[in-house]
Amino acid sequence: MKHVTELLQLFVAGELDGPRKHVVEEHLKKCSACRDEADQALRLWEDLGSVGPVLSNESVWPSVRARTFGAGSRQQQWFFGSGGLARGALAATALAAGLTLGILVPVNEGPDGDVYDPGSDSSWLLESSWLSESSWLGGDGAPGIDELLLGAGLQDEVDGS
Amino acid sequence: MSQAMDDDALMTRTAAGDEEAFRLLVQRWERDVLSFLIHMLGSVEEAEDLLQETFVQVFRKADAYRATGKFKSWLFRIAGNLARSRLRRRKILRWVPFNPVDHDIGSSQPGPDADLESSQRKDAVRASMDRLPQRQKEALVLNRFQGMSYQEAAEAMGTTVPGVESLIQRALAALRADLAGKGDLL
Ligand SMILES: [Zn+2]
Repeated sequence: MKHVTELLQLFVAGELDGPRKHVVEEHLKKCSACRDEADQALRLWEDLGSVGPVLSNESVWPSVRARTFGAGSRQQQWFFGSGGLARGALAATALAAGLTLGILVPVNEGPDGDVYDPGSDSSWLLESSWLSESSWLGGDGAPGIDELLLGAGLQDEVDGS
Repeated sequence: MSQAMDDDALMTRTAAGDEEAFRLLVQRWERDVLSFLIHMLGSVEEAEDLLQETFVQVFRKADAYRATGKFKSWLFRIAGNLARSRLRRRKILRWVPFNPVDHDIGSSQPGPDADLESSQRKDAVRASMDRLPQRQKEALVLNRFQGMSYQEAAEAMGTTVPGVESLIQRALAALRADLAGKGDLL
């Protein structure tokens, strides 16, 4: 008798289509080992449903609004609102400033695989802990992240995020 | 504006600069996206950060969105890409060990009346999920927690339905094997 072990998780998740579902149902009628397996599979499936995170009721809207429609994001709108060329130039300037100061900023890929689009994931700027701890910066004498960002004219990226 | 207005209509309005439409979209989907990101990243703080980023991306890409009734897959594709990007960078920079103190989802403290065994089991399941390979976890979370069909999950992940099925199958098998080593917790 060929067991249906591999299909049981999908079976209890209700994801098997007609023919495969039929095969499993028929098999379970005559195989107690697979019935036990199915029992375990169902338990896992139910347990998974109970481990969702506890979410706060706070909406992200005010922050998102500030970065899209908000009047409080003047500098960012200027940044995002400028054309691709100007944005690229600004990014290049910022990168150059960073490199001059001896920092290696990791290349960040955006959702479309864009290379270094500061707008796509500005949060890389927030990783101040690893930056300031990093030995790349040469230890205690290294400038703080705030100074560096101010130097690169991107301080609002941090404050606004 | 009608609460029942569908996502495509809201996206069309958002692309035209309608703030109210965008607000409705954000508030309709933020909890689902946050839950997904927490599962992916294991950190509430990072998830909240990327949640904001996800919707900023939605806004900025609204022009490019095609109204074909697949907003949910499109939205989770953006969130998934951001999460993967973050995980990749985390891996490059340094290994960030799982720390239950920082992770609301991994630190359920049993209350006075809590069923300790059940709480332990949940923690074990969470910890096992955390150990899953990224793609397997993503497929499982989209399907089990976001209620996506395999088709929707495949679109969100840029793969095929059999691909998603295989990922979920392997994820569940790995969870079973992992949890089997934890005695009678499961
Ligand atoms: Zn059997």
